[in-house]
Amino acid sequence: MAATTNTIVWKIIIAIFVALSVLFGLFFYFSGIFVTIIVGFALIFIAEKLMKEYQKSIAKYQFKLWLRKLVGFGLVLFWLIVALLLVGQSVGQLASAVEQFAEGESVTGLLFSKVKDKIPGYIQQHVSHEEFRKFEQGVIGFFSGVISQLSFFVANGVLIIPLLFYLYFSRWNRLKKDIYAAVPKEWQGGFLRATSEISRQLHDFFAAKVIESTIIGAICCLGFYVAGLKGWLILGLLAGFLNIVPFIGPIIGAIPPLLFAALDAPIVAAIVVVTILIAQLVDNLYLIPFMISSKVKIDSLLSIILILVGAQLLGPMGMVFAVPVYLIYKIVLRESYRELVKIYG
Amino acid sequence: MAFKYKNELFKTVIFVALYVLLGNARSVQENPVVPGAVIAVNMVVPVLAGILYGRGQGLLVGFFGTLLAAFSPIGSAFEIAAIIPHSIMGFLAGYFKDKAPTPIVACTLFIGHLLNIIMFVLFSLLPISLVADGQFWMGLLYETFIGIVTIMILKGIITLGRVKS
Repeated sequence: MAATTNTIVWKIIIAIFVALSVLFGLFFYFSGIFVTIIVGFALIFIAEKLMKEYQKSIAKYQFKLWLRKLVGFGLVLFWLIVALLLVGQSVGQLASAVEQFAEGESVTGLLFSKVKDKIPGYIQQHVSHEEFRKFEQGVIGFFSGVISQLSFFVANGVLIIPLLFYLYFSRWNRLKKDIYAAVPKEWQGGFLRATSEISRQLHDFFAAKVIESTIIGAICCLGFYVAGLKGWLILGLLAGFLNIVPFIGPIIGAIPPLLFAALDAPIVAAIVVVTILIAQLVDNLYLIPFMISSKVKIDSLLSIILILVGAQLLGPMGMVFAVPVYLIYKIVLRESYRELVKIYG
Repeated sequence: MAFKYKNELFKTVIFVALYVLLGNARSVQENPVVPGAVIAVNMVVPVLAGILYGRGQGLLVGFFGTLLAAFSPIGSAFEIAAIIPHSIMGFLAGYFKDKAPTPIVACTLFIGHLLNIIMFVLFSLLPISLVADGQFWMGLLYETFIGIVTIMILKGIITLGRVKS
């Protein structure tokens, strides 16, 4: 179909493009809230799936409604306690490992003294203790930044995520109706198509990401546990979580377990390396081609370009959100164009 | 028996490998109540296989997993004696999978432990005096509880991966 020559259509399309850019600009400016909302929706996705599964499995036993609710509440409470205990134990293990390894000395100092004899002389000339120290400071600086940002997100999350859960589970249909009613009649068809398409594609994208992270996290947890790595749970979960960030995420996620493993014993380091390799192989040879690609239909070259542009503009956050933002732009502009052509010809 | 297809064989092999891997994990701690044995985290694997895929898989994973683990670096007389109990445990988990909720089915772990103890006593691996001690049973209950929690976590993760969006 040839593009329309009607200038009104193109003016409105440009106006919509600018409005969307302003909206996303605001989102990224208030990135703390934006990321918390995204995390909230990811949690809603998990909660919804688990609730469906729970309802399906409990339906067999014909419990009364109050008993179903009680069992459900009991399970949620149970999971929270287990998660807190496990994570708390894992953090404690990590802290004691750091203390044990770095008694009065820096972690890299110890690492350097361990590997110094094995480094060939000509490399030793170039790689000094100072190089290791700089590397350590860089890593510590990066993770301090991540931890301080995380605490900010947690504080935001405590305020925003319960509200999102409330809105989604009790008011979502009514909210949708109210918004739909506010749209002018001639735009309602296009609006409905665009919102359901955006909702479906974003849902698929984040569902794929959540499943990918869960599987990678589970593989890493298992491998680190087998390796006997201290703090295996928290390091495995971190590796799974950071896998969301394309390209650099898996590398950043691999650094902390590798550091702890290198300080422990060669066999631990070897198993950790093998685990990370297996996780990446599963991700790149199975999950991405067979699971993620079927959910997110986007050209691979285009996705790489988008991610690079996102990284250039907004750093790691831009890398994560490049594809979903592109999907929203694409659907909104395509549907707007269709409707405008119908109206103005 | 449900074990007919290639897919089932693949799943069984994965679970057997998981059993052996977990048995040899360096994070596994010594059992404080049974001298010379370790806390059998890998016992959750046949139960999980039974819960997810049925009694055939549960039985096979219990049998081959324990058999292979017996010849792995962690292998001991305890593992050889546990082959039949673990097979029965996996079978029972599969048998009850549609008859009761997961946490209840996961209690087949306790049956597995009981059968293990009977075998250990029969093969003189465990002094009968130790079994009479209340502390021993507390340790066993603790181990079973950890196993049930692990099964529920793993079932949750696998369910999340299987649910179509």
